[in-house]
Amino acid sequence: MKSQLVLSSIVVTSVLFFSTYANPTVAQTQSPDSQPNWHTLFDGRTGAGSLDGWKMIGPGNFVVDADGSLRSEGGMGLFYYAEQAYEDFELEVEWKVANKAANSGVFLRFPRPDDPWDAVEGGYEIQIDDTSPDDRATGSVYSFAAAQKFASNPPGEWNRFVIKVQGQQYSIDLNGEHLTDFVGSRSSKGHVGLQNHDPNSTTWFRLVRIRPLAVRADPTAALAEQFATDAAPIRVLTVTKTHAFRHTSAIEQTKKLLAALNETTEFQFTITEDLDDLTPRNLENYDVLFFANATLRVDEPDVVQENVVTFRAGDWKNYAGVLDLPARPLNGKLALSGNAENITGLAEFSSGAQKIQSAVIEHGTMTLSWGEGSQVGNVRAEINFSDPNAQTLTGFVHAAGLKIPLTLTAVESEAVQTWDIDQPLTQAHRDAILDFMAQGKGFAGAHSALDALYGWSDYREMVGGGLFVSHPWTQPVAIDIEDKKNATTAHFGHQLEIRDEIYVLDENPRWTSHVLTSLDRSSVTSDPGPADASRSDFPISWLREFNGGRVFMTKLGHFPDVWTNPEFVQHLLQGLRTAAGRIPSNYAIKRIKETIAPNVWPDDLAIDELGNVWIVELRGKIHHYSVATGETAHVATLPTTDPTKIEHGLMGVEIDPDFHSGSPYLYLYYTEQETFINTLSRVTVVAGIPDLTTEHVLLRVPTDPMCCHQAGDLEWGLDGTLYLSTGDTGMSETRPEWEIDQKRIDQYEQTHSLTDHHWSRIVDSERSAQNLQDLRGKIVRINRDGTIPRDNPFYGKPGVRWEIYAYGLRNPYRFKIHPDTGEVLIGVVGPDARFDHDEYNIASGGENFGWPRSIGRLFYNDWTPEAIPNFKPPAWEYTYETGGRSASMGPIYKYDGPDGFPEVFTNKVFVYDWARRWIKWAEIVPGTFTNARDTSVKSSVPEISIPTQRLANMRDFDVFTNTTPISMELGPDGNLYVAEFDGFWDAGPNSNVSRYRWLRGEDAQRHQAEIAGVSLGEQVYTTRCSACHQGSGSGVAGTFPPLIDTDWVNGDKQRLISTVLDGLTGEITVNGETYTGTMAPWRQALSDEEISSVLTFIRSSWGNQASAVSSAEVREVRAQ
Amino acid sequence: MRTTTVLVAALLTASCQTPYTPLVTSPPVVPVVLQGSISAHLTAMEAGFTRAHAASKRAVKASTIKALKFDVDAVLSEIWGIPAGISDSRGAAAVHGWKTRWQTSYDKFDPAFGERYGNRPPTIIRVDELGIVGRGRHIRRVISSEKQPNADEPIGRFLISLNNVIGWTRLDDGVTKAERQPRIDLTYRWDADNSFWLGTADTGWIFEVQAQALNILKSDYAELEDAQAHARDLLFLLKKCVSGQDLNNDGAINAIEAEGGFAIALAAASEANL
Repeated sequence: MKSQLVLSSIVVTSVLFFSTYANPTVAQTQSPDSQPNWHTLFDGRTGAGSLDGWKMIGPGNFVVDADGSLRSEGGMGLFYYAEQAYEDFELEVEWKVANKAANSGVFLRFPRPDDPWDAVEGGYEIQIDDTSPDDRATGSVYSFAAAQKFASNPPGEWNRFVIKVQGQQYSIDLNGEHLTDFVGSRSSKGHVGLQNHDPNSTTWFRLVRIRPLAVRADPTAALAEQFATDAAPIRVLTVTKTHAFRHTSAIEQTKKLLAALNETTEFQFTITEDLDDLTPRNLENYDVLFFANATLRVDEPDVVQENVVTFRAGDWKNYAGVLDLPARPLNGKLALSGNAENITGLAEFSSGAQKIQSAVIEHGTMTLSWGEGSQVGNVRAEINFSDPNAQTLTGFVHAAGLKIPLTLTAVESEAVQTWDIDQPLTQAHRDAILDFMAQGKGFAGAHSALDALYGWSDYREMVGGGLFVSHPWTQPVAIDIEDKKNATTAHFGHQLEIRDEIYVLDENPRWTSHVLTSLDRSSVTSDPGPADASRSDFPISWLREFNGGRVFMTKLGHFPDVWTNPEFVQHLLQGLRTAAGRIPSNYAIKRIKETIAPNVWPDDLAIDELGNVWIVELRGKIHHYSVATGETAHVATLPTTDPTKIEHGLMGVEIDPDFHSGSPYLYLYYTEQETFINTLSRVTVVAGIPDLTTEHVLLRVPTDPMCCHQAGDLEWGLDGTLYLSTGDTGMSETRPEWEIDQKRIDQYEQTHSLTDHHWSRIVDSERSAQNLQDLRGKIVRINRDGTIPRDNPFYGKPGVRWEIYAYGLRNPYRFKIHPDTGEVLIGVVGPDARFDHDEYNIASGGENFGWPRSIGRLFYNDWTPEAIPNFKPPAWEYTYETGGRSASMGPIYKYDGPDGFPEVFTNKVFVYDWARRWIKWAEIVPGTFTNARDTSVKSSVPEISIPTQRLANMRDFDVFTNTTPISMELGPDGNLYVAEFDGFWDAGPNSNVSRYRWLRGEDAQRHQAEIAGVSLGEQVYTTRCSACHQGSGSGVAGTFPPLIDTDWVNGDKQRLISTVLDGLTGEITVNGETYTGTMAPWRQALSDEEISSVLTFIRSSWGNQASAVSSAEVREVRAQ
Repeated sequence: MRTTTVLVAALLTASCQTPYTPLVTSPPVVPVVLQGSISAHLTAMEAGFTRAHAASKRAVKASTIKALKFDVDAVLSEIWGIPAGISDSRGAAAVHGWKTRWQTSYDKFDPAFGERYGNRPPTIIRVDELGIVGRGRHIRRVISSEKQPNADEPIGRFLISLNNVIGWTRLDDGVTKAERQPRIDLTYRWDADNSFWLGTADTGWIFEVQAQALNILKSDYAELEDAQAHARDLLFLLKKCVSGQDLNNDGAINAIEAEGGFAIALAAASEANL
């Protein structure tokens, strides 16, 4: 193990260990190298080498053995070639170790050292350690880049490193195998050396030779020439000041680039590290403000962000810390904020403060971690916290394989800004920037400009809503060009490949910005961290509008060589031109979600060719949303079975594709009253009203008297055939643990031993989903008149129901037809047991998706794909393990008209999950299905790998909070309509049908103004309501009731609207308290808009989170 | 075990006059209004197969599509006791299942269940109004047992062959969401080999006949020949129900799983004095 802590910028003031090279026991002579340009620094193979020019520092020694090889003793020290420092070179080193656990390394390009640690902190170490993993393994760039494979020979056998260093590119081969590529950012010139790590890590070296390479010319001048223009000047104030991590090399390269561009382009870059340049008067001189890797901090936050360290004065507990490192003690600081349940803070034992990434107090021990993704690497501290008020705390820090004693002493300090954050961004600076943007000017930010100003909400909004969480990928990546026509990206082509550090942000800028480029997830391997809405979709650069100005942001720019990449430079310059307004662009773009039908309990949707929406409820209500009027009307109620505690009822609706062209039919899938017969019928719509007396039955699907898995979605095929999904209809008695009482469970388990069988065997779905004489658990396909299409996959096969299109499905609750291929894309709700899966399937006719023999990646009871007739594996699957789920399939986005979704959504498929409340979007690509071999399946299934269609690049679209997506349709207007379900067996208050659409240009700006509807509400509240209910909404005891957390406000909208319209007198009880005050009627004084605005304000303030109230709803109640 | 290979025609005329003797190994959970003896039901089923066979043969030779469908509907009527009801949407095609076929009373079931599904009596409450499937299931219910049939015993051979025709299902009172609800249950064969689930005997060959009949009735034929070809398949499937199949290619059709048909069941019933 490597026993060192990499602390990149510690100023070591004392050298505790120092020794010099001991005289060799075997005399060496210099010999001319046999190959051209090679310079032998040591040659222990021929005995021709000399140790002239070498120097030993630090503990231990190197000695020359009788065979001429160089052997390490003791440690930790450094034996380095002091005669010459090298820039670009190729280095060969032969070495062997005494035992597998031996630890050593080859140091590169470090400054002349006074201490072995100088090589650690100033150069890079190519590690020798066959027992450590990843970036500590042999051939890794220690703590920076993992070796891709293991290539060491056994202990006692010689190995050969070939190390090539050019610019900041490091390449490491071992024994002919290529192990590592790395792009560094440290010095481009320095010494090379060998490490003696410790007495148990004896290592021999017998050849060290180096071949200097021609130093690559600085590309800056050529770049400047390449981008030369003589357009009118664009004045850019570039800020490179940092308060946190400083990308020193990148910033220096940035400065060189901008200086060169000043000479050849229209840009006039002024570079500053003085934030007092951010004054209104000075900013008048600029067109664009550019934060280039400026990790700035504010002096006082205006917001407190969860999991983000804030700089709130007064609630910090600060400690001076001492780490008792082997070499010398290291001083640092630790600041903690919050309480035992929610601790945030900073740790600083290196060049910059690191956010505390997790903090837990258990059994008197506080465990903190920080540093993940940093150059220091992950650090974990365990501190005795039995007395939180103790002046001195002790514990240990675990880092880089070391357990280092830690002592903390409480210090008096009120705010973090006393910590080395000189010249923080003040309110005056912030006001100046906001004024600058309000004048219609531009802002641009590169890379760690997104790791900045956490406490300033306007900055967060300006840069797109999201700020740095982590950077899981520092490697070569592929970046998709989403808008290939934009001036900033047109030169890229399809993709950009670049090596950089990719940030994960805490909010996705996609929904408020015009995304230009995004990460191709397939180009990175590691997981970005816990799944949440912001960590599945990674825009790389984007444009947006803010406060009247234009914004260009890019996540790129971590490495200095990025700033010499012509493609990046062009991207940047075009982005700056766009921010300056020189290049017109659709920078103002915004996704909005709006409720179109608030008072429905939707189960399924259908949209006609004009955009009118038909909405059905499980209990039989049929609603019609008119696109012309924006109104929703309840037009009919279909008698159906009482769906309480079961999933029968009115399950599906479709509208005839030629509804307005002579076929005014509505298609309904429902359970007939007092039966378990699910029926697909067609009714004629007369004068906008479904005439239920015209019912024409097309298909009946008898089911069992069981609860669930009814499915019931309807979709049209490209050829006008009608598809229906049917569930296996819930053979749920076989899950006795929640279906029946204990006595029955005991009886059941006596006769159904699951010792040798998975429980899926006692699911009766063999009788439905796998039964081709039965229509349950299927996708069925019929003609509009109920007859059977002759091109159905089983047509003509004796004894099989020919309506069947695909089978082996548990609960294919929602499905869609591929608009190009006609394939059936199916979402299947799987069993809700711990290890099981939901799945998405793609059918082209005749497929068996396996249930109950398989689901997702699991094959039960020794079933194999070969043994399941017509088997096709799923296109995607996910487990129940992390919670409930209900995989549902949405449409593939396809729209040719104006004002649709951004181009990136074209041909992407939407999927959604009722239980998990999310909507995602993904691509369908050729891929490979692989199974899981979990023991829970009671089988010995081999590893299975099947080429098939797969969903890939799955990204979050939205996550609901108080409703769940239950149906989804793409409208003819290119917008996405979603049925939002609330409640379970009864309607919840938040149910509605909503619509997603994108606003562009002036529309987006206008929408910003529309958001002022909330402000109108606040204004009405302040002038009309606050005198009684108080500005805080807390009311007056006994007289005026509170408006917080009460059903009067958050519940029934109609009652709330009526109360405002007509007032209220007499005693009322709110939250258990009685109030006697009188509520005045506002019917005459306030308009519908004013009432809806104030009620929306009330329902979303002071912790209330109820849905908005529309003017239409007020109008409806007013008319009653 | 007696190995039986029989001609369909011979067995279709066989007599099963043995008086009904209840062979209930465990009392049915749900009382059923019994209408006549097992032998009477077997006789009726036999007659039903005979008529279905004749109707399917007529369908094969029908001169019009309409006539062909009329005969196919007659096959379906024998299976369920009522016509398909394709035209009026109220026949067997729509309502096969427990309620209108043989359920007798809600009294024995959970009140919530009865309330949900109304208090109208089922359309058919007399077993002797049922078709082949209903009578077969009635017999299975009377001879209800949690145990698997033993092919070494006549009663076992009878049940195995009957099950191949009507499905290896048993009627169960079911309990879902704390409500007692009648349902069909295949899972008492839950530990069978995977091969059991790959054939069609698990759910019953008679449902292949039903599926084929429905397919024909619901197809919009342009050519009579197409419909006749499908009717020939129907006849084949019907014959399999009666005569069974030599699945293991040992030259005989035995009273074993997925081999013995209704003819074997009749012979075994005679042996068992049913």
